[in-house]
Amino acid sequence: MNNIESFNQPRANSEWSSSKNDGDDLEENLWESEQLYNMLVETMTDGLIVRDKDGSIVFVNERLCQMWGRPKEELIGHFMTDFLNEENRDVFEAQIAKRQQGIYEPYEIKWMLKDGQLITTIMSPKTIFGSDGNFKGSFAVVTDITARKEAEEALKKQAIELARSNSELEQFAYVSSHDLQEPLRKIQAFGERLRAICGDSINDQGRDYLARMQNAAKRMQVLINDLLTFSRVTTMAKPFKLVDLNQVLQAVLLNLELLIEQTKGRIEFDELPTITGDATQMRQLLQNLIGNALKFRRKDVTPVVKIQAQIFKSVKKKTSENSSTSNVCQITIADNGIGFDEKYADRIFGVFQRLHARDVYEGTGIGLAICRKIVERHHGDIAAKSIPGKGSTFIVTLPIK
Amino acid sequence: MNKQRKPIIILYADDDPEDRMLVKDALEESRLANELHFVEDGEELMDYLHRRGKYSELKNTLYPGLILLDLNMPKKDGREALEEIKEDPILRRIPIVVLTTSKAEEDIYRSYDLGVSGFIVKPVTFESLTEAIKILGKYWFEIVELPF
Repeated sequence: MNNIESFNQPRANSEWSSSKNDGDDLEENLWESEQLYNMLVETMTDGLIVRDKDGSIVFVNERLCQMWGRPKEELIGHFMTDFLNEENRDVFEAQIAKRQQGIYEPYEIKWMLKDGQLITTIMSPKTIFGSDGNFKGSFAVVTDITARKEAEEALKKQAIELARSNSELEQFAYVSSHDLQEPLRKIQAFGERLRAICGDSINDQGRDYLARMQNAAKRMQVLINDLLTFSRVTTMAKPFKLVDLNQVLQAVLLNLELLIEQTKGRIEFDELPTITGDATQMRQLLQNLIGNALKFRRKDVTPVVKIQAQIFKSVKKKTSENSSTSNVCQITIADNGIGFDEKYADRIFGVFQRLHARDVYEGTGIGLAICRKIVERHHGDIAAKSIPGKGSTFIVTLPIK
Repeated sequence: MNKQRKPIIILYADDDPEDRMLVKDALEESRLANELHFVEDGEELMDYLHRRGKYSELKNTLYPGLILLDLNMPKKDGREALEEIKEDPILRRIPIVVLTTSKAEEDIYRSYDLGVSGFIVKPVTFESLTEAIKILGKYWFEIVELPF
């Protein structure tokens, strides 16, 4: 208490006392402004600290005492460096040197509590000069960012952990699908041998079992191959280059020629943009989406697939410090097929997710999962809209860069 | 066209006993009269070719006309063995066809860089394996001239 008063003392002597004669109004105003100032300092959510030119603390507010876990008596008159470990002392000294040159900038520093624990703060300092222009000391607003810092650390750790487990999973999918193929190939081969050599000596039921085993093995083969294809989106990724999506589309239409012919489908398309990406994966993406549009057609309705592109200007990305403006293109692939219930709009992008029985529509359900993985690798987005019995629309958003 | 009537030897290097069995069956199925010899890893393969260790009695016999080589084998894998064979002034002449489960581009490029004569991904069905062996036999023992 005494210490605060000693800091406030200048008010009692010097200039202020001489103006006392000018009347009670002034006195009253001063008193009010003083009260206001005190209230402000004591209710602010940040700590406030004032040091004199020799470096000892002359004032702290209540918040700072809380923050540092010490009563005012333990702070006033001490050097600020008393509450720093060696590493942070260096940071502080460097800052003080700047302060004396009249330079002040916010900086991060860790203060040591009684129990040795460190709290991270942002110091926003200001130099105090006397009326003679000489350095008199400095004050700083002290913001406790320990919680924020810890949250940041935790988030960073989590991101690293996530990346690690992701790449592990990636590796797992790739290696396992490779190794799983070995025994499977044997099951198929020896099953085949068994049927070829002993087929006559087993009865119809036995042959039926054998056929089922072989079918299951074949399906497993397809699943493993699909899983491999899926994991290759990242393991076999090629660096990004300029990709003219019109050329990609032409290649896709050539690949799908037979299917288009068989279904008597009609493909209508706009001029597509050129993007930065992996051409092979763009072909995979469009082929899966257009292939699906033809596959899930309605009986007795000529399938019509419309591919449209739109470019949206400058979506501000608030990623870290560089808020870049980049154009995005939105490609929609709309069909007039069987559609699906929109409650599955998310689910269909999952690995091996299917909405139909295997004997109605073939396929393992990897196609859209691959699409999503490709789009994500390109920092884009994919979504689906649909009306059952009317058709589905897939919307791919990709940055153009 | 064969210089000598002696059957040409096919040497098959693979650590997997079932694959060795299937290739043997496929060879019989395809009615090729070739002798099929097996080695189970890269070290055995090199011993066989250099006629040393348990293969020393092969000295003065004919080199295999064709090597079928698996890439993933214990001790010394197919890639290392391949490199060694292609560094040897005599052995490098023996045509080598890789027979592996690997579809990795890297393996394919690397194998051809080292001078293999073919790269076959192990066929899934026995039928297609037999077909592959049949075509291999026709190509290597009827159409082309072999160095040994």
